[in-house]
Amino acid sequence: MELYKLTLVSILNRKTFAIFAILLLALPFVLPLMTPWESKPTLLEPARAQAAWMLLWTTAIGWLLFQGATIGDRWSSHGILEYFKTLGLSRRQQMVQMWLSCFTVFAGMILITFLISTFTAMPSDPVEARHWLITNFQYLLLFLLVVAPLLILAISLGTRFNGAAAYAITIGLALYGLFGIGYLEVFLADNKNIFLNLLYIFSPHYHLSDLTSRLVFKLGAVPWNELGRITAYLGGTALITVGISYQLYREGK
Amino acid sequence: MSKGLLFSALCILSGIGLAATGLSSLRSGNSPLHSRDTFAIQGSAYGKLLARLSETTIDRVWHLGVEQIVPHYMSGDTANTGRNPLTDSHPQGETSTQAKPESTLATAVPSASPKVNASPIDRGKKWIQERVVAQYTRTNPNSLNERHLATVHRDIEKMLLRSFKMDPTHYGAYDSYHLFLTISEFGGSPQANEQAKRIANVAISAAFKENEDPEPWLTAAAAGMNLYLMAATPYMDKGTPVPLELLKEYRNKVGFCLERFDEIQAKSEQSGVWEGLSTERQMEIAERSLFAKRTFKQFDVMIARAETKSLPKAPGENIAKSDSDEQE
Repeated sequence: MELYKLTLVSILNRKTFAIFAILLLALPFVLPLMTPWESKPTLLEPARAQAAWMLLWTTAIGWLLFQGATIGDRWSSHGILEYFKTLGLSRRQQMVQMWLSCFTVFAGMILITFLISTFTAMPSDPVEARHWLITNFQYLLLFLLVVAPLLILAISLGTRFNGAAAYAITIGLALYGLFGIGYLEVFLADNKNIFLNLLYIFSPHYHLSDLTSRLVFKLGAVPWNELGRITAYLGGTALITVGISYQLYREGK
Repeated sequence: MSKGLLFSALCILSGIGLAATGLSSLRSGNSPLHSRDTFAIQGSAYGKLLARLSETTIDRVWHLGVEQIVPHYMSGDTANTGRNPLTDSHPQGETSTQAKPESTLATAVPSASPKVNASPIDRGKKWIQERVVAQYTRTNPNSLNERHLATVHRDIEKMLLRSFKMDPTHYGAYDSYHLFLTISEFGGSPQANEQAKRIANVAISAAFKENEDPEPWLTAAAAGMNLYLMAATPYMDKGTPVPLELLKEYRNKVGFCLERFDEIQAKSEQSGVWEGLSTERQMEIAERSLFAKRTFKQFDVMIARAETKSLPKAPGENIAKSDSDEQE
């Protein structure tokens, strides 16, 4: 686990994680107060959960993927990965260790969001509270299915290209999956172009993982059969991403 | 085939299989359509905030693009800061495709002379404000051409729609969009009228979900009033009396909204939430409810007039029908 330790120490030394951790802790309590909640104080709690999850997404896209891309780039250009290869660390082990070190720090951030969203905004009605807890777990699962493979992709792209390019590609993919597909859909509403329709079908529909509206409007948990389908879809997308990342990975530049 | 390639191929193939299974069952059940509302902003507390914040942007585009004067909130010479572009002091008919040098001049020259005892901070702020006015003052003697103006109108419509989607219960967001759609100079086409009816119904149904905040019910009452006016316009244009049924239908609808407003406001006062609002907001809501109630009273007058008119001519039919409607 030497590569894991080396990467983790490097991330901790950079200290940028601290800025995001503080924002993740403070903003869910500050942002709701900026809304016009005075006439309806019950808006505050869902707004807190909403802010917590939005910030976690922002941290994942803005911080986590950037860490992956730059670490992949740095270790590969400095020959660290080739050195570990000579020590017998296989490509798969290297990828897992780098991924795990980024995710160790990010796990703390996920925990902050999960605790804030679950326990500082839980409805008082016992049935609603149960739904709230389950929805948060479901959201966590789907979130991980999107973010975890994107981090592997960022690392692999970093080892092949430079950090900025790797980050740009990964962030582009994440934003396209979350927001861009919606715009493509508007365009496709009265367009029968087969190429664009195929593009739509084969796009990564990351927006399926966004359960924020279920929390904000207290819609209740996703039915289990539906969750199974979405999990299968996002899990499949994750496997494809891992497969592609494995081929993109390069120990030295 | 190398081990690495085999691993990748396995991952990708099983991924495609799994994703396809998930996607096809998603297709058969709930379609994976994008909500176009990532992170549920629309209608949430942040949506409400954004709807209010967008008022300033719309105000600026409206004044610079259509009225072709510097907005009041920039010039700082009136208390109109943050008001709706379509409901503020400018009469709509004033808008023309001609540039208005007088009004441009009026805003370019600071209207109020600085107070004698103004603090250096106030004078500093005033100085910056005057520079901002200069920055946006129109010096081109020609106004925007028609096509350009049409683009500005389209942009404003988009912004108004976005703001309305963010918070359909917000009076400013709803009413300014409605005015924009129904004033013939900017909209007034049959499609725009249809859209106006649609948004009125959306505003009303959004209020029906509200049990804590009284304000959405005032928006719904305004939407009901607007629906009535749109339904009554053809009769008014022809000069024929508005049917009694129509009057009674909308009296009931608008009356229900105002009743709900009173109920929820009373509840809000009891729970102490009302006290938490700033005095300005309390006054704004009170004024608006007074206006709505005063307008609502006109229904009784109009119904009484319609009933007395219809009595000698056609006894029974109209009244019997509407009475039975009322009982329902």
